[in-house]
Amino acid sequence: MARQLEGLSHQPPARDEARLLPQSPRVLFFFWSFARDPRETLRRALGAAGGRLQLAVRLVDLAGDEVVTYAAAPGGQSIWFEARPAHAYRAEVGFFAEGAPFVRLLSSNVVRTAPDSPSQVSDEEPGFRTTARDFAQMLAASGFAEPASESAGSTAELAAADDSPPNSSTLARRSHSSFTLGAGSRRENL
Amino acid sequence: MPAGFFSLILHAHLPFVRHPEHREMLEEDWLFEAITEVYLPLLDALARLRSEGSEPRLTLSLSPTLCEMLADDLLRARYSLHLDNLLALAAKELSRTFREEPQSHPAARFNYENLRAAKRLWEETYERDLVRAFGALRDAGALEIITCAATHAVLPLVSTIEARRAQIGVAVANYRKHFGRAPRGIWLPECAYAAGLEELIAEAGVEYFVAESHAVLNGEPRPRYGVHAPVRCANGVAAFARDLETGEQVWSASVGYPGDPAYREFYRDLGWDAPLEHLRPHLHADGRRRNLGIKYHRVTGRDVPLSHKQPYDPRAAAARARQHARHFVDERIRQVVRLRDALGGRAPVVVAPYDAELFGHWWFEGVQFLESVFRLLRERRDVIETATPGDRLDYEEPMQTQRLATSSWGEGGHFKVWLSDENAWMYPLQHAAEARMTALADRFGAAIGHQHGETATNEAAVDEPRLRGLATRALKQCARELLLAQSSDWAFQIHGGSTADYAAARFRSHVARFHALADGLERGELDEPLLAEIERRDNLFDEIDPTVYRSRTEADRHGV
Repeated sequence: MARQLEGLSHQPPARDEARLLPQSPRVLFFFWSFARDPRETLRRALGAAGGRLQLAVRLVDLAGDEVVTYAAAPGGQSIWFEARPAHAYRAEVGFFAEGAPFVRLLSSNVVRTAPDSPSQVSDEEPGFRTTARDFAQMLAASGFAEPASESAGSTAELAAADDSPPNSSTLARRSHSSFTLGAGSRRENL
Repeated sequence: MPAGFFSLILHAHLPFVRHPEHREMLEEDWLFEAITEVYLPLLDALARLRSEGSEPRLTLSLSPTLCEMLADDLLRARYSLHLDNLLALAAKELSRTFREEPQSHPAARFNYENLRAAKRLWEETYERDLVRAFGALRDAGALEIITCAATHAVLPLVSTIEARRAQIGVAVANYRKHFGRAPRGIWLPECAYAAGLEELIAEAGVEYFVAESHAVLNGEPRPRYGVHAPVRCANGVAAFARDLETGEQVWSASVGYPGDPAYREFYRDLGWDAPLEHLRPHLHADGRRRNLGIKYHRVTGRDVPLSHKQPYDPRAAAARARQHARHFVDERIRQVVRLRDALGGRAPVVVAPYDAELFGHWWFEGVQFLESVFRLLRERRDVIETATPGDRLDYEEPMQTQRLATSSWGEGGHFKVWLSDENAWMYPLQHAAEARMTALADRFGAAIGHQHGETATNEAAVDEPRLRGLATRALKQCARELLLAQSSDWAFQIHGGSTADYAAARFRSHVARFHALADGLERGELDEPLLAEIERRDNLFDEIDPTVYRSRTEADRHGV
């Protein structure tokens, strides 16, 4: 019985799936799979005419309809995308050819990337309203860096990026292990 | 009214590691080391504080997998053997160091006395039941115990709402089993938050969760009081965010307390230093060297090579821990006074969450430090008061409503530890199992519901009572296997490379067991001996109700 249990393995059945996951405010991971090889379906449907179509993945920024399209590596089933903080995205996989509309085969869930800096919106409730200047002073008292720039008026805006609060990435947690990112491929442009 | 409040939160978690199929297993040592070095000393320190009239009001997150292991008869018996083995070695070391290594003799005596104390606490004081011991401290008012997701899954990387709901629901049910009531708070694994989790937390009846700093600092609207007051999600669930200053003083490899030259060096261990023949009777059957938790050297200096570490002086280290505790408390007082001014007179809440295993395991003197901290805080309670998050909620101070930002306390502040080039391959497998579990629960959950008195519908796939019982067992075990596969520990270890092979094997095995049982369920051909063996090994959560995985429409139809 023990040997039977150790020998258990699972070959997942082919299925249509497209899933987008957030790694960070600026990186998304997209993976997909098909129940049936779409190229085979294309060949049977269009024959040679389908030859100029290639499998591609694209990242759709739902805010501005910005779309970036990449070739899907042969046999590939995942890709890392670069993204922008506080944006909503959907990923798609389908067929692409220059001058032709994208033929969407699978569409992923929507992911909203995290913001990477404090909000510029103050609460409207009197007890929780805070100006940018007061917020910056509170951050400083809490041990965070002062904003790089701030105008004198009440509409002062906090600088982003450099003034993001330090988080646990600056601290050595679990000091017994060192974290290394794999070399990891990013996208290749069409 | 004090100037401010201090909320120390310790998160105690280990992945479920239990291998009845082997006589001994290296990875089970993780639990045994934590019991000896963290949980027993912590219980002892808290009991001592209580005897002095102090109520620390510490918040302790005990993960469900840890509770299950601490309550497991096999692991308790194995720990007793482990402890006896270490004691025997420590006794031998007394005479060896006296003869051959006099500079290490004080540390050897110290180790021996510590292990004797651990044995006494384990067998006599707590009668091998540490869950009950923690519960007793909670009932006596010394601490607040909160739960954590069932198997410590990083919930934003779980694909279905049903699977996320199950991680929380199974945790709450497990907490009730061990502690007799519902938890007020939950530790989100890795403090990993994404929008929507608060709905599931509220559904489970939990009032608050612990979040990373930028969950609140980057939330919307901007937080009037930063991380120094809890905020409310729109549905009323509260979030308490981490203070950075307290984190750096303890966590930082460069400036944190644990790096002090007087403290015990973690990476010099008798298991690697002593002659193999001397150690052999105390090693596992494979005879391979491993960490034994018996250490004779101190940090000495940041850049001092391991081979040049100096002998450990327990008394000097203990004195240093008391000095650091004094420094820590003085800094907290300065901090709350400074913050109160910055917050327009509102008393700040300084939330300081840490992994429990830092104190006592990675930082050997950590529990001594904590005991001194609580003693000193009690002396200064006119200025700074210890309080749990539940205490602060009871105070009913107005809370700002906020949409928190997606975040975690992992490296980089988001999810790159658990979703990286090394471990991204896991998610297609995990997500496929999550989807399939809901399909199974929808299809076969009615059989369980029928057993529980619900009206049977046409979904009942098994007619005969014996087969229905088998199907119920299989469905429950599917749920257990999925939960075990979802442990963030596997992705963490694969990313870090420390025990990557073991972690990958564990993940794959749970996925394979899940699908083997699911295939059997769907075909109506369950292999009962195989099921029994899987149940024997992965035996956590005997109270599990797999109908928690039902999709909402199915659950609504059955009145759940």
